[in-house]
Amino acid sequence: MVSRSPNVAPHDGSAPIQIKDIRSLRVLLLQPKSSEGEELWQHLNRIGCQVQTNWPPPAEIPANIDVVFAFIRPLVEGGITWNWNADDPPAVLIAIVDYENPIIVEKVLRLRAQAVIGLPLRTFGILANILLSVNNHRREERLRIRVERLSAKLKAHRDIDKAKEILMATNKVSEQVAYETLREQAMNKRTTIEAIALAIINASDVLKLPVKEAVDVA
Amino acid sequence: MATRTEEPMKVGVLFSQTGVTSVMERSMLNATLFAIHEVNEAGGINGRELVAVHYDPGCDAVAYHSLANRLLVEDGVRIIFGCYMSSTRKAVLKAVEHRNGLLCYPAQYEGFEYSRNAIYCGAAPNQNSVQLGEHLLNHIGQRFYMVGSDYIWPRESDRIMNEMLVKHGGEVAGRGYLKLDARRSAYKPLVADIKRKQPDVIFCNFVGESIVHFYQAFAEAGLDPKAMPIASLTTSESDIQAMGIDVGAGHITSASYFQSVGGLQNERCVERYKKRFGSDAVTNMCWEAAYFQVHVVANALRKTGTDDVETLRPAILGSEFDAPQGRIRIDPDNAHTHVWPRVARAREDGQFEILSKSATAVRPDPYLASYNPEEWGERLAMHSL
Repeated sequence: MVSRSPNVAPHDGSAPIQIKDIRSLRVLLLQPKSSEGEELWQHLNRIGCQVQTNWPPPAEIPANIDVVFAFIRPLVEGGITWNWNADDPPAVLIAIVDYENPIIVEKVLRLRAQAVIGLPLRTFGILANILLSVNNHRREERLRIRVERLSAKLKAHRDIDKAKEILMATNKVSEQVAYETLREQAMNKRTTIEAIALAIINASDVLKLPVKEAVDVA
Repeated sequence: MATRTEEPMKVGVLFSQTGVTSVMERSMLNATLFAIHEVNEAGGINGRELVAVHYDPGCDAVAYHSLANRLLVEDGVRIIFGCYMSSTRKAVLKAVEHRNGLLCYPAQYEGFEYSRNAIYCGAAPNQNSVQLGEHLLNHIGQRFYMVGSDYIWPRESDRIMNEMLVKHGGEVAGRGYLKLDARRSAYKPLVADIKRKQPDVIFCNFVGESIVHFYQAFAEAGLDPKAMPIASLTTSESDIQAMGIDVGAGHITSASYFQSVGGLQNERCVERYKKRFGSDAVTNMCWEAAYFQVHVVANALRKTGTDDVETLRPAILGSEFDAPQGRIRIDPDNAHTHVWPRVARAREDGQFEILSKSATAVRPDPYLASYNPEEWGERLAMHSL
């Protein structure tokens, strides 16, 4: 069985991670001094991750960090403000919890942690949790990029349609000719059809050129 | 601290005297009782006699679990020396983790484990598989046939060897797995397929009785170990005695100990063992680990005076012992053991001729997932003999 993805760089956010890649992972452990934190630090080293630790959480997660382990209760109790961008997380987040009550669970959900490790710490399962959450994070990243790309494409199509409508109404030409006009303009100005379409739409607002409402349905 | 007392100190022993892997486990049981005897002859644990409470789990994982609980709850034991197959280790681990006991495990296994309630005295894959892979690929050939008992250890061992083989440009000629309790007759078609495929070497991960069945079927089919050796991480002096020394001769095993390793420590130990268990008694890799782990624990018990795991385990971690294989050390970070890898070939007399050995004790790396043949030269430093 030949391995299908040889030596994937850890920061290539797109490639799925394999167990052999675990030693390339950089881990940030956010924990106040405690014996459980110490044990987790030891086990991450035992597995072979590159671990650094920090408390309180830094204002910004260093760019080279792949996985963040965060002790949740001290975050809540310490009234610590931690600017974790859950919408566009800079790394995988694994929450470490010793309570499962609503305050803690809600915090975990708000931070959108990708995995939870319960205390008292059991070393078994940490390795699998890391790999699983890194893979889920990367898949999410891939999907997010794909959605962004599709949205942009969809918008471009809508803009072109709208610009064509404007040209057809003002120049009294067919759809085919309207499209040809856009294409020619794009060629002459060495830009994209989408850019020309957008320019026409913007100009039409100022010039009060007729736009069919029907096209505007988003 | 425990108060001064003459009370004997009880320890649990769980090795099977019956069942599929009983050949090896009986040898591990004897090693454990032999070492306990030595400890007592040397004054016990600061004057307290070390007493073994032994049950026979019959190679059944469920029995291992319930007997471990019985030792911990009814017999009041904290330390258990025991287990051979991974399934039985996992079963006992469940009990010692639940009741805060300590399992001392003396067998080579697949790694990827760490427990606050265990120490590991056998080889991890970076201490036997890698050395075997290097030897086979550099000295025997590039076409492997993988066989084994169908459970997790053989599968993982196969995966590791397969990875090295592929990276080295070799190929797998065939693969055959049989149930642990497969009948003798089941090995015949497997050997026939091996004969057809003509690999350079067979990488064998059979355990227990299966070892005997497979090697015998191999010999009966007229296959020659000189042309096509079987290579193993488990086949030991005891298995070779069980299969017939003529059947085992010429095949290869990688382990941290063989009876023939030499050294004063080993020779004296083997002599004492034979005096007690008979002149035809043989020692082997798991025998040796079962033997030295008792002494490692006894030393820690003398130091701490208690079998309370929270106190005892830190005294075990980082400790060293002059074992028959050489000076070993329990790694303070991962609780596995620094051992001396060797690759050897079975001789006509049932003992092994050491082909190569590590120049130093090798640090255990139980969470190593990937093996790179390019790094071998530097990392292994195996010396051909």
